[in-house]
Amino acid sequence: MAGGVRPAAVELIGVQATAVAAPPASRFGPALRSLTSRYAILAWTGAAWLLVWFVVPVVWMIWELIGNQEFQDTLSFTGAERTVNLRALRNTFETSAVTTILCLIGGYIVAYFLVNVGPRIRIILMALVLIPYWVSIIIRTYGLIVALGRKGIVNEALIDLGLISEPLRMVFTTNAMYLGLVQILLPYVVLTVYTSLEAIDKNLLTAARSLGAGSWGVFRKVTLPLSLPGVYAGGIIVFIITLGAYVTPALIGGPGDIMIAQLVWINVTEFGAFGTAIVLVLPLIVITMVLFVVFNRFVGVDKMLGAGGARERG
Amino acid sequence: MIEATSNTSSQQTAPLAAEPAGDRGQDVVFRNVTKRFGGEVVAVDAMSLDIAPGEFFTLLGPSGSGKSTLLNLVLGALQPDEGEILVGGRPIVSVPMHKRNIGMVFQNYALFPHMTVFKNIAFPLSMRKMSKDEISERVTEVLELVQLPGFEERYPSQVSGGQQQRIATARAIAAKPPLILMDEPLGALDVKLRIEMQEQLRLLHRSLGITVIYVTHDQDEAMTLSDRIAVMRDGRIEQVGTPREVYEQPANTWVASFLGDANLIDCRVVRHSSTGTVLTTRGEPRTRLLALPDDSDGPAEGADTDERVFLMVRPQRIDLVSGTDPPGGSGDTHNSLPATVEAAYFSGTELRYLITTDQGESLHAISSIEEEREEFGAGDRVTARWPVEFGRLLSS
Amino acid sequence: MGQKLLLGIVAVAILLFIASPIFVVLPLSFSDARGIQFPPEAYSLRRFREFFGAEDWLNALWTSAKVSFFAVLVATPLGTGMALGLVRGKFPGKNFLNSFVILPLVFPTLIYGLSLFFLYRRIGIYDTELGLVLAYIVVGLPFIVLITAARFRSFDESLELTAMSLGANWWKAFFKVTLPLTWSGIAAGAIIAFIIVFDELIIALFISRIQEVTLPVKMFNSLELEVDPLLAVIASFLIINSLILAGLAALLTRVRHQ
Repeated sequence: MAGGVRPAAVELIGVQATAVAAPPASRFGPALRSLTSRYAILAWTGAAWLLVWFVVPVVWMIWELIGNQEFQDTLSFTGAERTVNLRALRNTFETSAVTTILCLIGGYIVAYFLVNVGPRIRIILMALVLIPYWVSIIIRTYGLIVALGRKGIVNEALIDLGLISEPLRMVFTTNAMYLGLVQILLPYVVLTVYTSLEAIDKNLLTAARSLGAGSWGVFRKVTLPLSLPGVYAGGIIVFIITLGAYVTPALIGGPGDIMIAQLVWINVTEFGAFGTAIVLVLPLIVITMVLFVVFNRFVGVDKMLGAGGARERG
Repeated sequence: MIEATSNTSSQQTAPLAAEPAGDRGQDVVFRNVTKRFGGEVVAVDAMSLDIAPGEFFTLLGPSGSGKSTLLNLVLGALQPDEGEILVGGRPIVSVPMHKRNIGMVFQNYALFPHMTVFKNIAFPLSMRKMSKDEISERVTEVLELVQLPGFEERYPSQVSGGQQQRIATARAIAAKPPLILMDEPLGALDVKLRIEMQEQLRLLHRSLGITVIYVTHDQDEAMTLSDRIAVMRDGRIEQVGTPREVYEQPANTWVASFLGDANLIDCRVVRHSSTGTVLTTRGEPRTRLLALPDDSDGPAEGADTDERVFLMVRPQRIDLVSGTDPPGGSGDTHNSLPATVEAAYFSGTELRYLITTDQGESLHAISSIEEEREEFGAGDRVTARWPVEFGRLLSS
Repeated sequence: MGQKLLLGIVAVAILLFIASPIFVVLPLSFSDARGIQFPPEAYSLRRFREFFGAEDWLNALWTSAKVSFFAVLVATPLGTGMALGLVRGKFPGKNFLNSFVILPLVFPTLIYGLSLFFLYRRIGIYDTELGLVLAYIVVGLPFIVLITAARFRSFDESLELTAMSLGANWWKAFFKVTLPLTWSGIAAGAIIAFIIVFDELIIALFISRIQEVTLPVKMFNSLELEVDPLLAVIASFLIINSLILAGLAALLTRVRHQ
């Protein structure tokens, strides 16, 4: 009786575990035939297409051009050309940062209001967010040009109100560019923030209130922290898109607002200077990839779904 | 819901149509089956198990115990990392799912919402290239079997939950598989309907002679339905046996507690004798208790002297008598523990007592109200008594 | 109360600002005036007649429609398969692919367009419809994957498993059960990809300047030169198209199958 307590389960199940020799771990046989591999093939087929027609062209371009003499020359630029390039770089970041902040403020206000309004009004207001989202960016920029033009509605209204006597020049200014960018990108923030605000359990707010928090306290201590994922997601999307923005700055921005995208465009189409274009493009690629990784790690792909995907680039 | 209830109760006693012979159940054998998720988490751990032909076999366990994983391995939705599964002596691990001929009923029934009831049940038959006449004949047949004749042209969304469950069962048996798997098939129904459906399932199983592997976390349901039960925990089988065996002779304290209320009395082995094992309580005052030798080869039979063991007694087996002097003399076949009543609850069919023994252990005792026994209130001094044969020794 | 009112006023003002271009463009397209004047003084369909008589605009419209159609035609099965694989499969590299597939969404199109310009001139498909189609498959694919993946995720996998346990092989289970219950999501994905691709400008600017001009490119070119009143008509036409298609996609995502 020195054996102590015998394991009951082994005996009771009827078959001695050791009586049957297990077949060798067939990791590859069934695994290859299994459903899993079919799904893997389906997924990798799409990925292979992206690899060939998306990754390869970009990598190949960088690879080819980085050894280019022009690339070396551009790096060693001094004087005016260097100044132009650096200013475009700085402009790009400044514009992206300002646009992101403006969109976050405006977008948060709208999203917060949408969550707290009745369902009927919400549908109408949501349509106001979504309809522009589905309209081409050129059209929206065109609308802005018309509205801000010398005979546009804004100038007419200001004159009628007696605030100004002569029409103001509003198109082709830095402010017009911000107006355009914010107008185009604001819906992203509205949608991502709205998604995370709506996901907040309303009982939490009631609980916070019952614990003595005022409206502002509830917002600062509960609502805002819980909606931060949406804020981050929206912010990163807007920032990335603005980094590569071309249409809006080109069409309504001022002469001093030249950004990397425009400089690349000019270098390629007017001077055929690919090497220079690559020098300008590389920081854009690096930063986009870094933000993309951060986005994936901390915010998640599903928040992207909330926004319906980044639709267009300014 | 209401429709289903009236429907089933009125037809409950109707004789079931006899199923033609030839689709008898087949045996199922698991050999060292292991399934890991993500390379590390072991969902099923080197499991071996024999299920007899025509048996109603239940995998019972809490969520995460690996019972659904085991079912999915038989179904073919998952591949084991190691081991083999044989159905009717035929290894099936490398057989693709659609060629296994195993019926399956999911908890949510998985009825095809875009097909009528007829199309749903005809699905496995048309996959087997049966003729139109054969198909409609068979569909009518199985619909009668589950007592839903005339439901052919409805859509799943147009019938009640209980009816959906029966349609799913009909579909699973339509192609006469030798084995059907059921994953908590009654889990979505309310209690009353569930009990009716349990009876139906049992009758159906008996008339078909098919092997059923049934998964549930509900121990009452497992007891009611099964020929045998495998109690699972953390990917392992803790015990296999008939409902009576696992309830009355649980293999260990975990199984004892999982299957209903169990009083576990903390004891120490004094000595083994030919008539049983002599124990004393570990708490003071030390009281002598007796456990009979157990022909089921109980887990704590071989416990050493002085070893800590638990004496398990079901609450229904404990009688309370007033006073703390144990009646009877030396020939008494009862164990007795003096105790104080803490609380008494009335639940309609039974009286349930919570008592504290003088050793400080909390025990439950249940007496049926038909027995017209003496009733006690909080604070009463009593003696808890149970026949020695109803105690079971479990290792700690 | 006052706070809430203020919040509401600010929010509505911002929303009207976002939507304002549409309210400007639509009336403008019905203007009778020669130049750009807003609000217009008289309305007519004159500009619409001009648009449908302008062959170069119609050609651009036709090119855009053709290119978008074929791109979506290829991207839909490719993206649907990929979504299914990503939702259902368990295989090494799945997490990576989940992120990889949305990379074309956030990657600056300017750089992608530039790289295609570079590549296409080497392999001789610069300024061709084929080149546009190939580029737009990449642009449309992530949208189709994201939208159909959402649909597959909400699709009850036990239906598919049941079909297979009842004797259907994978293809039969897919075509008889999965597809009939998810086609509306796939169609919604295809429509949205079509809208996106149809409106795409920057890549097209790089790879289709001369022969194969798409509608957005032609609009951009004309905006760069002068503000052509005809643009308002085209814009209205596109707005209405986009809204009809987006509305259709929204309806499709609500389709319940019995």
